[in-house]
Amino acid sequence: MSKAGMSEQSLGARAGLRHRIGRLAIRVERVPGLPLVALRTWLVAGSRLEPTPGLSLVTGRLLGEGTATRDWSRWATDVEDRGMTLQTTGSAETLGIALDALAEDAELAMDWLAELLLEPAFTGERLHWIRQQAAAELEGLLDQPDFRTGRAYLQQLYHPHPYSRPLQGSRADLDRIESADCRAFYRSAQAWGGCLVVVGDIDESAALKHLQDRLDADFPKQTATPPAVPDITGSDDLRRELVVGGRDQAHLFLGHLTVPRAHPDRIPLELAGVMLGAGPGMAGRLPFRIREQEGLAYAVDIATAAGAGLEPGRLTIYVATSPDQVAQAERAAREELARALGDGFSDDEFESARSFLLGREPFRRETLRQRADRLAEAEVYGLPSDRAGWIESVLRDLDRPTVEAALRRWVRPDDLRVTVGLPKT
Amino acid sequence: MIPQAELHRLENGLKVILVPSRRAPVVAHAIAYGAGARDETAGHGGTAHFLEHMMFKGSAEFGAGEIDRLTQDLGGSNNAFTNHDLTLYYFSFAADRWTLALDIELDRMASVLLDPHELDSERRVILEEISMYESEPWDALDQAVHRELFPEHPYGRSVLGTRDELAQIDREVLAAFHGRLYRPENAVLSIVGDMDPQRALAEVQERFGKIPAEPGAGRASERAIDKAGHRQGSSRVERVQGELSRMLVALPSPAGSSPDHAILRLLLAVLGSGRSSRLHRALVDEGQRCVWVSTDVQETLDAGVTMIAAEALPGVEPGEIENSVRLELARLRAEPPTAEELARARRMEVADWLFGHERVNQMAFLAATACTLFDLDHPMRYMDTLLEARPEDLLRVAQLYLDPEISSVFGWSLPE
Repeated sequence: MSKAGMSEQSLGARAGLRHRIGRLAIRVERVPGLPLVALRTWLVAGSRLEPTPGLSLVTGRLLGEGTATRDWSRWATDVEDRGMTLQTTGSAETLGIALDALAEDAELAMDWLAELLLEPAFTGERLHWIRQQAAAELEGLLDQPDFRTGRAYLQQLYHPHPYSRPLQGSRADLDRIESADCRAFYRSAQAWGGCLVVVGDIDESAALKHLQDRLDADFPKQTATPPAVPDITGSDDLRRELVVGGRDQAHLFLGHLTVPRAHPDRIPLELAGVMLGAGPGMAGRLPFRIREQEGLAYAVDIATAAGAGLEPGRLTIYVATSPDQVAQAERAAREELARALGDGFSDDEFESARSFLLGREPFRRETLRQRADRLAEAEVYGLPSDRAGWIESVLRDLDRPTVEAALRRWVRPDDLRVTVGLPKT
Repeated sequence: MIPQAELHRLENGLKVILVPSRRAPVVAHAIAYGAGARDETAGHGGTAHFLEHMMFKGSAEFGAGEIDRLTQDLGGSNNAFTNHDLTLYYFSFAADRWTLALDIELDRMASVLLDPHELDSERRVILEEISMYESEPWDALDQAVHRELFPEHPYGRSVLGTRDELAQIDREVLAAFHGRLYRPENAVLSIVGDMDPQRALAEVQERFGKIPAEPGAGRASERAIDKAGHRQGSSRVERVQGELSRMLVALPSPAGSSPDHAILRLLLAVLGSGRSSRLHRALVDEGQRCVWVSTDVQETLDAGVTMIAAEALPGVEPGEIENSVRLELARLRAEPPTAEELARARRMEVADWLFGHERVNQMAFLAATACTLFDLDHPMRYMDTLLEARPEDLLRVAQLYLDPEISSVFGWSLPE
């Protein structure tokens, strides 16, 4: 049997071809149209599994800083000579490589992705720079009042889990990281598994065979179970106020943890979120009251499972307003939550929110990059591959009482954490 | 570059661009008005942006907040933005229901309400928006640099206006601005996606064809703004905010209609696009003095601005960064980029274009913006110029537009 023949042809609505090397799931999908190709590799790792704060971010960035035979400079030139874009990342939950190219360069892009996966160099010289850059980047982010307040809010919610700290850790954390740490973390991530996705105007069989030729023999086959992650308890204090700088503007965050990405209540909660204000413009109860009726803020955001991944996401209400209006905005937010929990929603609100979520789906799969990301998400988070059919059937099967029950299960007014960032003056 | 685009013009002057695209069962709809901050009257800065907000606050058929509610009911999305040159409103819908966008745009073009109560409420919202931008170090620096580079031209004013100006904008000011500029002859409507162009045109004609033309209305007769907008010579702006040093260098750029604009973009790609670019090497990956650096130039109606931005590592002297920027600008003025650099920059621009226009709403923006400020062929012409520019063209444009001694502002936001 040929290598290509070992792959299972996907069935039904599932498009594309599949393959597996160790714990690396490979998906190849042809999407005709523009002559482009998007490649993604996501290894399950991230800050939640890092032994040293900042290690995920540094390791992810170093994946793009050179391989055994090409240094960062050569990579930059080679990639940009072909009009490709390369981004390597270490996030909260993954180590990622994203390579986008013109379709005529698809094979070359696959060769280069394989090289990045198999031969990362993790040199000391680039480590030194990435550590410096990450530390300065964190300082730049903390210079922004909304980010600084948001970090304090996450610390309140996720303590003592790694999500309670910035991805960069701290300057002192970064200074402790050595090349050997990155190498070891990357090796572990390969054993923990993940996915490689290729989407674009390509010949699926040829593309899969090409990947197999480049990776089957050399990608590590050993598997391992990730270490335990600290439990999330949250901090004891329900309310924090801190001075974050800026002028005339306070930042109010209010919420608590809810559910992970694959939890069956996530989509009902998302639908409830639209009724509360996560839909277009000022539709929804919270923006309508806080911005449209009371004129308190320009920015009013709400999410019911923000950042949901392998760990729980969060209910977050965010309002940017004048310091003297924070109390009024907080009161409005609390009252609207209480009203939703107590009285539920109308049928019209429910149908409108469902229609919105159904209607936005095609726009979430419109570009190759989106399609590649959606496929990678499905693999990493254990979601159905046929996103379009899955989302549609879940949404159509929902009813208002189910959504209201999910909201009551997961929204706890007495447990809301509040973080307020205040200007200096 | 805008495949299969059809341009029609109704009798009342409304331009209609139709671009069928069957890649997904969706339709994007954009309407752009030649009505930006450059069109405001003295003392009424922020009018264009204020009106954009008020366009969601009620018209004859759609009450305050109803546009968002209907958009949500139909599973769509909408938003709007105002800049110095235009205001653009857009909707995205599934292909079987996009005509709601036409109903809404017709109604608020013909009969926006501008209810005084809503107006007061929205004024408070915009004051919060101003505070938000002032609190953000980059936005605050950007405004300060623009004020310095354009002491007379409207491009130097904030699109949001000032607090004092907002207090002066009442219903009459907004109604006059709307009446003067929200006219079919001053608007471009673009529809991109899974629709039949003939039927779409009929739908547009049926609605917007009812509005009579008004000779002399619109911006066309008023476009002549004093073009001597840029400050001459090199100047500095220094602010104190936050804990890091941030640099924003502004240099004059030609109007977007000038062929030199595309050539300048190519030069800026060599200078600051991607890790292999000159400034990125000098300041980031090799020089290791900045966290990041970027270059940008917008396609504006009048002569505009080239921006070079960088965020410094702690402890790095601003002078070191400035010297590198000046050195790299001087290199571009002394000799054209290498053939390798040019080929790379061109390929990156092409790939960027393709990836940047996959979405129907991006295509709708592009078409409406191009046709409002220039013409529908502008994007194609622009890319042709960019791809065909000769080394001597690059040298000439660098000498014209990348010399800080002719005109520039070096802006710094320094640690408190």
